[in-house]
This record gives sequence, C-alpha cells and structure tokens, in this order.
Amino acid sequence: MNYSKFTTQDFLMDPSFVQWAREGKNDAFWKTFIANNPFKSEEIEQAKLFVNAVKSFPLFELDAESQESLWERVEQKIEEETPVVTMPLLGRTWWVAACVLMIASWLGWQTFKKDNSNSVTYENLITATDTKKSDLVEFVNNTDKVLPVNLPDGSSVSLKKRSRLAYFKNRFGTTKREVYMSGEAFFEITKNPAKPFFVYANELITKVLGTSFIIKAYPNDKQVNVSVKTGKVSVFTQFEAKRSLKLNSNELDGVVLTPNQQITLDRQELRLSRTLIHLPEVLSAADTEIQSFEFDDVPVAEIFAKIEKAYGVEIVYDEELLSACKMTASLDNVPLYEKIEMICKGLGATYEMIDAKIVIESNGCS
Amino acid sequence: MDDSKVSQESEEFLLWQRFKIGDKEAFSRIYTKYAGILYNYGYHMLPDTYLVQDAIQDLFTDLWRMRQNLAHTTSIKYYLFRSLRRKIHRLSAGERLFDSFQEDDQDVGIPFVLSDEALRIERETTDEQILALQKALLKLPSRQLEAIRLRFFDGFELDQVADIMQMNEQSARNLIQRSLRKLRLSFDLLVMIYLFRYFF
Repeated sequence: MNYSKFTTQDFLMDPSFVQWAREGKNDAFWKTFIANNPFKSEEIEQAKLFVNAVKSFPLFELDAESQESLWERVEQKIEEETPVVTMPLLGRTWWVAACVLMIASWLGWQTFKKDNSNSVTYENLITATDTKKSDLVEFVNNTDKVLPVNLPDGSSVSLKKRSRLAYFKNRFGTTKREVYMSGEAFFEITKNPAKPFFVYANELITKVLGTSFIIKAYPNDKQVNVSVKTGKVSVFTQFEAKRSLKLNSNELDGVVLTPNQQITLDRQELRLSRTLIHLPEVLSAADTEIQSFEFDDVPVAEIFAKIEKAYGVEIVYDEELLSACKMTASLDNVPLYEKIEMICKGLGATYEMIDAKIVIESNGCS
Repeated sequence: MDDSKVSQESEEFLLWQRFKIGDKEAFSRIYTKYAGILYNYGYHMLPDTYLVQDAIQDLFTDLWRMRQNLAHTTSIKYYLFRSLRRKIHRLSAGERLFDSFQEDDQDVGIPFVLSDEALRIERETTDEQILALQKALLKLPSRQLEAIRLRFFDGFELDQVADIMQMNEQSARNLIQRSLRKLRLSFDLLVMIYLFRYFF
C-alpha cells in the first residue's frame, strides 16, 4: 500500500489505518510511517481527529433499572413459552390448522384466576352504567339475516343472528364512543382519534381509533375473539389493572393487533393469546407491485420480505443461514400458510406459529 | 490477525455455542454485554426509548426461540445489530419516521451532549475541532451518518456495515465516501481554526 500518496479521505477508507486510529493496532508501523513521511502528518492528524470525533459521539445509555426490567420481560416471555408444544405430523391441512391453534402467549396473562362467578355479561355491563335506561338504544337481531346498524358517528356495524348491540344516546360521542355487544358483529369504525371507540364484549374491551374488525362474544362461549381486518385495535380485559388509564387515553395501549391478527380471550383462565387469523389476506393497503408472488431464482430473504409486507406479518428466521438460499416458485393465488409451507418444503425446513409470528426452523442450504 | 483478536473471536464463538444449546447463563451474558450498545444504536435510528426497548425485548425473545436454528458466528455484536435494525425499521415503518430508501432524509434532531469520552480525549484546541466536526456530522443525512457510526463508532468492517444496512459493499463504500467528501468543507475550516490559533 502506497500510503505516501494518501489523502485524508483515503486514510479513512483504509481498514488498517482505521484499526490503528480506533484501537491502536500496529502502532509501530504507523509511528515509523509518520517519522518517514512528515509531509503526511497533517492528513493523518485530520483523519485521526475524525475518528475521535465519531468515537466520542454522545452515547444514549440504557439505565441499569430499564436494562434489568427489560431482561425480566424477556425471561418472563421465554418461560411462558417453554416447553414449546410440538404438534404431531398428521395430514397437511390438519398440520396447518394445528399451527393456527394458538400457542399460549404471555400477553395479558393475569396472575390470579378469577372464579366463574366473575364472568361479565352484556346485561351486567349495561346495568353497571349509571345512565338512565331511557337513554339506552338497543338493537337485537333475532332473524337469520345480518342486521346492518348505523351509529350516530357514521360508523356501521353488521350484527349477526342472535346478537345484540347497545349504546347510550346521551353519552355516545361526548368524549368517547362506547358500545356494548353480545354475539358476533363486524365493525367498520370512522376515524376519529380524538374520540376513541370502545366495544365492551363480555370480559374484553376493544379500543380503536378508526378501523374494521370482527368480534365474537356469545354469552355461553368459552372464548371471546377479536380479529382485525384493517387498521389497528388494542384490547384489554375488564380485570386489567391499568384499565381506567387505557379507557381515558387517546392512544392505543395494551395488546395492539394489526391486520390479519386475532386475539382470543379464554374466559375461564382470563388468558389472552395472539395468533394470525385462519386465512390471512393480502392487505389492501400494500403496494400493487408486491401482489405478484412469482419468483425466479430469488433469495429467500427477499421472498419473506415480500410476504411480510403483503400480509403485515412477521417472519422470524436466521438471515445468515438462509443467505445462500435462492428459490424459483410461483406462489400466486395461494393462501399465506400454503406459501410458507411451500417455501419450507423447498428449504427442507419447518415452521411454527408463536405469538402471531411465523418462526422458520431451518438448517440453511448448502 | 493478532492473538487478542483470535481469542476474542473464539470466546464469542463459544458463548454463542453455549447459548445455542440452551444455556440460559450464556444467553444472559450476551444480553448484559450487548444491551447497552444495542440501545445506543437503536436510539439513534429511532429516538423513542419505549419503542427501542420493545425492539430489544423482541429481538432477545426471538433469539431464544430461534436458538437451535441460528448460524454459528464469531461476531455476536454484528448479528445483533443486523437483527435490531430490521426490527426497528419494521416498528417505524408504521410510524413513518424515516424511509429506508430515501437517500437524503431529514435530521431527526438528536440532542447534542458531549460524552465523558469526548472530555477525556485530548484537551483544548482538539476539543473545539472535535465539536465542530461532530456538529458537521450531525447535519449529514441519517443514512450517511448511520454508515459512519457503524464504521467508526461501532468499528464494523465495511462489508459488515453493508450487510447491516442491507446494501452491497460498493454502495456502503460510496455512502461513506460521499459523507467524507461533504465534510471536506469542515476539514478546511478546522485547518483554519488550527492555523489561526497557532499563528496569532
């Protein structure tokens, strides 16, 4: 290397120089060089100054307390998941279905199991409010058809059979929009971040700013389920410690669900688990250019990135291990799980669903 | 390669191996060793302490879930940086805080505080020069600054910088060279400050 012709920039682009400037490696060599080439000392000084300037940049530190509590959260989460449930390899569709079945997540886990008498019903919710019954507006669908309901804020609700929806007309839309429901309904909520929309369904509270989603909460079911079509919703239970805080903030806190995700509340155990819905769809907001899933000798990481973006899901894998893997595949018009399965087959890999993420288990490809 | 580097690499390799077979102690050591610098890197990308902590939590839980399916590595730091960047980009994609494909994105307004190390590094004139340089650096587009940080602050090799930032090595080289060229003005300025103090 002919260092005697180097500019400041050249020195900074030279790995050996940077190592010396940063860590003092090869000190003897550089000291000799400077002694022999005094006319280069200015460039070297400048380059060293540059390295020092970057090295002494302000450091954003994680205080010890946060560092510890963050670690506790990691530990808590991994302990909840051990031992990981392994599914027997049965028929293909069964396997996919099994994968969809939730693997318990720590989210919202309540330490104390509430006994059954604590279960919350539609009737409890309505009588518990201190509002006059004359202000109650209620829709009951006893037919076999879907009952469309328009709310004063322009939102609409499609109420399925054997379902009910109610709100208080004097309160709805003052500072927030609150409705109570039982059964199953599809909600399309108009956007209004200043007045969050709350749905009380059995023990579960769903909070949104403007989005569409489905709630299933029948009085005698063991579970309550919320799945998201567009936008984001947050959910928490009636027993949540920070409930009143969440009811009064204009932000989405608690467990936040994004499209293609669902949350299921086990009413007896009061355990919330987040999974992907059974048949995730391509998000309408995703670019049209990513809607094609034809791949010709494309790195697997790129294919995963495209799928992540299209379905709004997270795929967890080791980039290093899969960096050499390329694939030719035509995955158009195939549901998400089948896409993943086909890719896994090509890689000789398997996958698992954990906390609404797709975790790829592979040993790489040679 | 000298001995200290070899032993450092084999130490990392062994630590990673132990973690891969499910040794929680090794996992906790990896966390303790890297949580701080990961936070620093993450915070510069996304100045939101809660989101960055969430990303780090997510990174480590995923790491544990995936442990049996991870490659061998001699640089855990490099591995973690790369994964954290992906997480943070995902988190901030929704928030639209920055766009990874935009070359000249806006300065996010990082508060400027001089670290202890800066104070330790030589005295007087150099301090002023370093401050002037740092001010100039902070005006760089965020991607250029990120590349500079990864190379000179975190000490990653050029190919690693490229990989972390998901670009090829030549692009990373260009990015750094372009930033250095931009800083030329400030270099001239520094020389003037220097000469001024020296002669008058």
